[in-house]
Amino acid sequence: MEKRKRVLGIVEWLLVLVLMALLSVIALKTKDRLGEVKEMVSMQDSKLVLYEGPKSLKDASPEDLKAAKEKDREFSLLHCVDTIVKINGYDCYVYDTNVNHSRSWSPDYMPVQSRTPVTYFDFEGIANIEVTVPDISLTSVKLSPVSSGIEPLMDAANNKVSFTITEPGNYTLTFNDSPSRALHIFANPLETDIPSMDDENVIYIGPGEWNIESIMMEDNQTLYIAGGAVIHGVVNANYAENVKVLGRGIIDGSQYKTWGGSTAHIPLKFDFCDGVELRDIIVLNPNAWVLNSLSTKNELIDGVRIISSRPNGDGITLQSCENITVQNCFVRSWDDSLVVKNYQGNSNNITFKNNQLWTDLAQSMEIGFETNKGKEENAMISNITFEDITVLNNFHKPVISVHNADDAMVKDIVFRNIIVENAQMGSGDGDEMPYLIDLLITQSSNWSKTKERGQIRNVLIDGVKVLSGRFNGSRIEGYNADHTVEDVTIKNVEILGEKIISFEQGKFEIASESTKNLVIE
Amino acid sequence: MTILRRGLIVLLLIANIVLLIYFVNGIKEPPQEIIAENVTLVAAPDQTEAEIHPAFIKEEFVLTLPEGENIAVDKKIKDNGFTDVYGANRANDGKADGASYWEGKGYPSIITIDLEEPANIHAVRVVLNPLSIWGKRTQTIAVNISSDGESFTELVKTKQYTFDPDEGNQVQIPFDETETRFVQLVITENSGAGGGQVAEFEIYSK
Repeated sequence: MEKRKRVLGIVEWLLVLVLMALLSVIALKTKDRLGEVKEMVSMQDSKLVLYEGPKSLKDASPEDLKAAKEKDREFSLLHCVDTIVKINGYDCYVYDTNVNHSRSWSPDYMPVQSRTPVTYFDFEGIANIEVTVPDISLTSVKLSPVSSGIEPLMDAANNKVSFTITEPGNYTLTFNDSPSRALHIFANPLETDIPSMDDENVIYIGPGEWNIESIMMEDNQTLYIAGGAVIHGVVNANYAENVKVLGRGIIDGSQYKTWGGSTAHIPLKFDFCDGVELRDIIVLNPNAWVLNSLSTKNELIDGVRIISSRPNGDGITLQSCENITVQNCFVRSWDDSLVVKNYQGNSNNITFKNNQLWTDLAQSMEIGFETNKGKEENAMISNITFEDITVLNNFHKPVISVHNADDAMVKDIVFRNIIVENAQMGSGDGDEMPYLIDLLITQSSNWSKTKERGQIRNVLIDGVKVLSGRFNGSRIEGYNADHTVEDVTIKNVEILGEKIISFEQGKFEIASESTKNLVIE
Repeated sequence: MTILRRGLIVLLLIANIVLLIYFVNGIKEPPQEIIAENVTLVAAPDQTEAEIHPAFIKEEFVLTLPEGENIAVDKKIKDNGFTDVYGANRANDGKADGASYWEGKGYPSIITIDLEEPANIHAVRVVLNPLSIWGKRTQTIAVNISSDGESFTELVKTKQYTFDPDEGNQVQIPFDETETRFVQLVITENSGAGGGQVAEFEIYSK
């Protein structure tokens, strides 16, 4: 009896041990599972706004997608059907607009044009993006900006790419290391502070395709172009105060034939204005340059997206402007992407920050060439900053350039944290200036208006990283001993993984007689 | 001791069962799909082609010219300065479109037509390009006359006029019929440019 009790006692203790061990295992598994679930992405609070494109836009046929001059094929904005985009499982409308892969100037203003898909939506939380390209045999895919750290998943068998974003921004998907049919995705935050259509100072344009010819903004007016709207026309202001152009819609210039050196219809043009705010809108296929301000002050250009493809299609051009901020923009242009120059008066206190550029032709960030077109006394361009700029592609001329072709003083210029994802400067007829950095005082038969030459002073280039492409050289050259480039500091330059700590290593061409106090570190 | 041991066994058994049930049924994965109510689809209107937006449909403007004939076309014309290439001779070439306009350089912007011989006149019409891109603006204008081109007298006092593309982008300034050879506009304000602008300066005679 005693023995049985003892055995039973031992069995019960063993059972206690087994149950305790089991409890530990279940507790550990539960903890792991809780951690796993905690890590899981929750769509609970995610929100999504999708905009149907105008029903009047035609589907882009294979014929429409052929590379051709604008007079030889359908040139209007189309509904893209060869690139299918789903956001969180919902169809997202894709537009098909014109882009230009030519890398040489076209004297007849009729370069061959291609097409590319563009889409946009608003979201908060998480957006799972799935892109299907049935006509592309996928071998590789890249999501820009690379700094987002997002590696898209490629399903080559099903011609599909997927990735998840949690931050609004401008994203570009490049297939097979080719600019052809790259998909531009403009992922907006949810819209707030939508102007009231009942406000008498608001011109409210809702979804649909609309001809508006031209809108001349008057003092204190707001033009709101809603998501889903496509307007054909231009928006200008002269001598206006406190004007705004807002909204997620598109200004499309397809109806205008190439300006051909005579009639430019500038989608966004603000001359001699004080207090301008341009936010979020998308501009496609202008017939010349795109967003131009002349002698305007106190302007904010925030989140504007631009794709130009025709000759002289400069992206954002600021002529003789003061107190301007250009931020969060995307500019793909067939001419200079960002430009500062002097036409009537001086340029001062201009900041370009957190912008993405894709420069199909000419320079990415250009000061000049015209620095005193108005031939004014003591002309000056000063306090110009380019900061946190990602150049997705530059195919033609310098990424960073100060070209002083008049008699102005150009001073206090900063380029900081510039990332070049694909450096292809020197393609086509860009071989005349295939530089990464170009600081130059020159006399130009094309651009110079003054007889006297100017100066360049105090330039800081801090942080330039070329991730892929070509290892091109740079140039620093004044005009002569009296017209010089002085006080230039270049640091934190890295080209294709190589840290550049000497001018020789960076393949700099330096004119010693017309430059002073150049430092690289 | 036995009771304690057995109690412990029961407690452990219960704890295991409760934790197991929680492990199997109690841990909920967050939703992996977006909640339908959180998706907004903004629909496009039914359209088969681009339409003129309702906000930009204009009433037809019927222009009525002053009585008589415009006698200013191609007469001698001069100014006190001009901007860029927009010289005075563009203001009486019979064209108000494209780049055919005069723009003064600062204020006052003065433009004078020599009718070459005295004429009886009763109105001037100041015209800007009628396209809407030439947005609505005001100009402050005085009309002066002279018989010798040197000494001018005020015919119409300085006044602000509105130029509206929806109404032909023109203003007509009538006055009592008067005989003169030289007619002058003195512009002291333009809300749309840095100087006076005139695409056509018309002078009417019956």
